[in-house]
Amino acid sequence: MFPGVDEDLKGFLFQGAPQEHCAWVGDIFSLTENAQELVPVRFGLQDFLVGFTSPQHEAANDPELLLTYLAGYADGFVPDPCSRLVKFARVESDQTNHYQPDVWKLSVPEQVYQFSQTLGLAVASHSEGLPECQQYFFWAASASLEKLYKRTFRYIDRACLPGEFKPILASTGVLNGYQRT
Amino acid sequence: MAINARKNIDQSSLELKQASLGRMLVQAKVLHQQGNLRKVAAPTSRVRSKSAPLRVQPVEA
Repeated sequence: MFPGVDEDLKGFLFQGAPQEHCAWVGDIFSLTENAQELVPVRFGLQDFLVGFTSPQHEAANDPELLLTYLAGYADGFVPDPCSRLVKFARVESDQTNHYQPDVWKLSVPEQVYQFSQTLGLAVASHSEGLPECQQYFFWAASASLEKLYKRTFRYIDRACLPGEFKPILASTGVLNGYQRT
Repeated sequence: MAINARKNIDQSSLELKQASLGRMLVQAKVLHQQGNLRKVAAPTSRVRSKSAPLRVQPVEA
């Protein structure tokens, strides 16, 4: 199981999830006020956690470290303080296999489109719950994950929320950003 | 520069991201143990139903 997660915590986060195969997005849990939240997602019978972190919190509230990150990964772009970096992890992964895609493929690969839509619902739900968050970023560790994230944000723009959800960062090769308007 | 960073980032970014997610979930565990893991009071959702059936089923071989 992912470091930090145990059966007790998992049971708490996923207590409202259907037990059968489903695409389910849970409530938003606040970890650090105005800085960090968690949304549980069950897809098929696999559980995921979607994390949202403010840039300042990501940089351990160190302004110099934040500027270093922004210079290196965002071509100096300064995000809104209320923005969030989005990440997700499979609950059952551990430190030895978390970033080995072959180990945690979807149980039905043909469902990847609905999986990206479900991730999109998690982000949209966060955006509704914390309307001050207008910018979202992701930092994909592989080309296939980047494709998945882009598909997710296109879905949010197209189908999830009123208004628009458009890319705001030219391709930096590292960080991708979207602005809700 | 950023493109170069991408070429070099994969391993270090994986470690950074994993460490960050790990810290997040440890924080969640501590808050839960303290009884302080709180839901964000969300307005009535305009987003579609939060639970849906899976649409695509496995392709038979």
